[in-house]
Amino acid sequence: MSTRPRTQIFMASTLYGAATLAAALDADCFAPAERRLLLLSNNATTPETTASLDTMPGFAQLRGRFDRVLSWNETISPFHPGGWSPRADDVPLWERHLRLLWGLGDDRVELVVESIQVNPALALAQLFPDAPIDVYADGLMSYGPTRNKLDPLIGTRISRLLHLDLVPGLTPLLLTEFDVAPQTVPTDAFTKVLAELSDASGSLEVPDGAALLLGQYLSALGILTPEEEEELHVRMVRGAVERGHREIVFKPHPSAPARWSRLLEREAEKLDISLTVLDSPVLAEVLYQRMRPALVVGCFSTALLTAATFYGLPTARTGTGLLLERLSPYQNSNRMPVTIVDALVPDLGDRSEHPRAYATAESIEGLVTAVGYAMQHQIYPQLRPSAERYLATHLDTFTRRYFKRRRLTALALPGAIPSQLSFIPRNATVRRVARRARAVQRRLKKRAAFG
Amino acid sequence: MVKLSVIVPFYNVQTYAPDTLKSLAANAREDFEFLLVDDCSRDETPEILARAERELPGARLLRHEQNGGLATARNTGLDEARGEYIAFLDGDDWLAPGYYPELLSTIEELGCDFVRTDHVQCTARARTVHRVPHGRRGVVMDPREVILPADRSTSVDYAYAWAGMYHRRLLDDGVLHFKDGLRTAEDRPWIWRLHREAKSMAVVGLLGVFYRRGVASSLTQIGDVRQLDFIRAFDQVIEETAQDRDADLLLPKAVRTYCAIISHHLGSIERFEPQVARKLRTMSAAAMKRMPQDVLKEALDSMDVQRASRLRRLRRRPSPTLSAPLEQGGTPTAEVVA
Repeated sequence: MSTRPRTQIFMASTLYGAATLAAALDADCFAPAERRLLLLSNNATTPETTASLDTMPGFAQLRGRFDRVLSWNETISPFHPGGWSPRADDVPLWERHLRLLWGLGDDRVELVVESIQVNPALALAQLFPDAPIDVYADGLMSYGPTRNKLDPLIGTRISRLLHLDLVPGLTPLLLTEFDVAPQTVPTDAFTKVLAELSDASGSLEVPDGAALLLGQYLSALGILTPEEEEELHVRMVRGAVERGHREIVFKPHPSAPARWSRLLEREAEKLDISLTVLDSPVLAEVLYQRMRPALVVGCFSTALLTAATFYGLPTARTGTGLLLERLSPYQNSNRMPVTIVDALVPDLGDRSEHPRAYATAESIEGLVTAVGYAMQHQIYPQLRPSAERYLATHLDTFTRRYFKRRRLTALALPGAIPSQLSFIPRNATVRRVARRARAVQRRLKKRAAFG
Repeated sequence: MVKLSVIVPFYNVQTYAPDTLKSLAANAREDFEFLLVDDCSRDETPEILARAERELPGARLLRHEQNGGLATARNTGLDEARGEYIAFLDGDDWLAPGYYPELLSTIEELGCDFVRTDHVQCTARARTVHRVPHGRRGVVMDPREVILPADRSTSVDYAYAWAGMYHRRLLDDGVLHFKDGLRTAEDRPWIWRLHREAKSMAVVGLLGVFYRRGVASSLTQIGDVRQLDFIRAFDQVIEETAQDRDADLLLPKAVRTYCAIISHHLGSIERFEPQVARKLRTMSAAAMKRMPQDVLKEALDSMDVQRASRLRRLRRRPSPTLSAPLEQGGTPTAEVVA
């Protein structure tokens, strides 16, 4: 048994993530340590012009749980946290440097990180090759597959996946290929931290009982163009108004760049409703407590699930259909959050008195397994029987939206193009005919459009 | 009294201008002024700048009625600048917080006419550090002394106007203005003149400017006719250097750099539209005819075989109308040359 002191390094990039860590600490999810460091990483596209999370209202409430706060951006300046990792042979130098820089001595270092598959978490894990790792997941991504094959030298060091119980009862798929044990961060600990944050957030000028719209930041991921993104936000406004809301609060995505378009404001004027755009970075969950929104609208934000599960608020989604269509390749790691929101949250366009979603927390497991397998069949071959079972019994005109025929065909899963016809996608003549048919169709459409 | 004037031209950069302006806010000081030049943008940029004029301390908005290009826009800013020091920034790039105060105290301490700084190039999240190609840092030097040698990358080959800070006396001496109307390579003649005419300079590191690469609308990505302005830009370099008291020493460097740029464009000529590519060949051949031939020969002899032979091939092209003056847009048409 070593007597060297233990230093835990917690890496966080969002207030939500830091709150998750705080809740986990409050619930004694971590072994005692001589020292706890909070390493902040600002992963926004342009961190130099985006507020770091230690300047956000409420951070002071979380700060006390850590002995010291460090900045990853400063440590690797001028590089971007998402774009930098050490060269393998430089790691010994880097570890020596960081131990000096952060005063770690020869402590036993333990790492607690989110999104282990990508930088900066991956870089940090590489920099301390002897450190055991706990992964915490601050969103719906934990229910999806690991997005790529993880280096075994990283994967085998991971002991736990700490996650919020966003879909009660559903077990995360993430990192199960390394037999990482999932552990929930108790919901009451988490909501208690959020309540502290809410109290500390100062005065917020938001109308009570308005509809709250959660902006997304999909153009940064290249999924939508900035114009389409604005259009999506406008659709949220229209949808909420059609549901009878006259007061609307729009909360831009925390890492979205400063807004340049006034499309939303114009739409609000046109519809003659009151629109408040929140310029200060504040957690959606703080707004849930402060303004008790009558409706929360989003695309595939995790906050939709916290609204429904932790705060019992009515929620609606929009644009997930387009995203299910658009996400490419099928393996795109956003697919699982989109799928879960699409299945569990009612559509904004649903005008019935009690809008219903396709699935419930209890019934979604089959779908999640099948989508997870279709996304990363090589990482999770053992899921094949469950995926086959689900597809054979549940694939219908509605659930088709979660799968692509081409993907099912490539994996020879139920719902694929029948094997007698499997020559079609590769057949030159068939392709030529199809191409011509499409061209004719396009021409007809064009003619129709221009009279 | 205004200590520093920062000149920031904007043209159709609605997506990036908010970042630029935010980074200026993190560099503001009561004795700094930010001259925001709107080069007749046709997107939401003017609204963004109007808002910035109200909210950004020290901001002044200058508008062009007509799009005039980067060089002209910078000149508009220079004409209005009141600061003791001048700096430039492009409307889609950004700064580290506190960069200008730091750079200002550096140049004041050194007391020289201008300083040059390193910078960071960014393509999405991938970043690379780019350095002024001169190794002696933090010491005052004679700018004329660092132009040479011809066969090595030197300070004049690092032409970014925004990578530095300049004392007002250069502006008053007319050294800081750009050639109006140049739509690319505007800082080539500018940096050459700066090095020929300023008395003192220094190179420092800092890494506070973030230069955005891979912007779809950015000129360097598009092989359109504006790119051909590099010929006018370098003609000016040659012309002015030829009149310098050290012309015999400096011209080989100017000619060689000119040739290297021509060769670079020829090497990736597939980027250009066919007509532009033809025009590029014709104009480049004509440009080589205009260079001092003995200096040109020496320059070609000193280059590597691939680049030299590419240029020699072009030089041998029969081109009957080469004397057509370029400045009046009278470039020989493809038909005439073919």
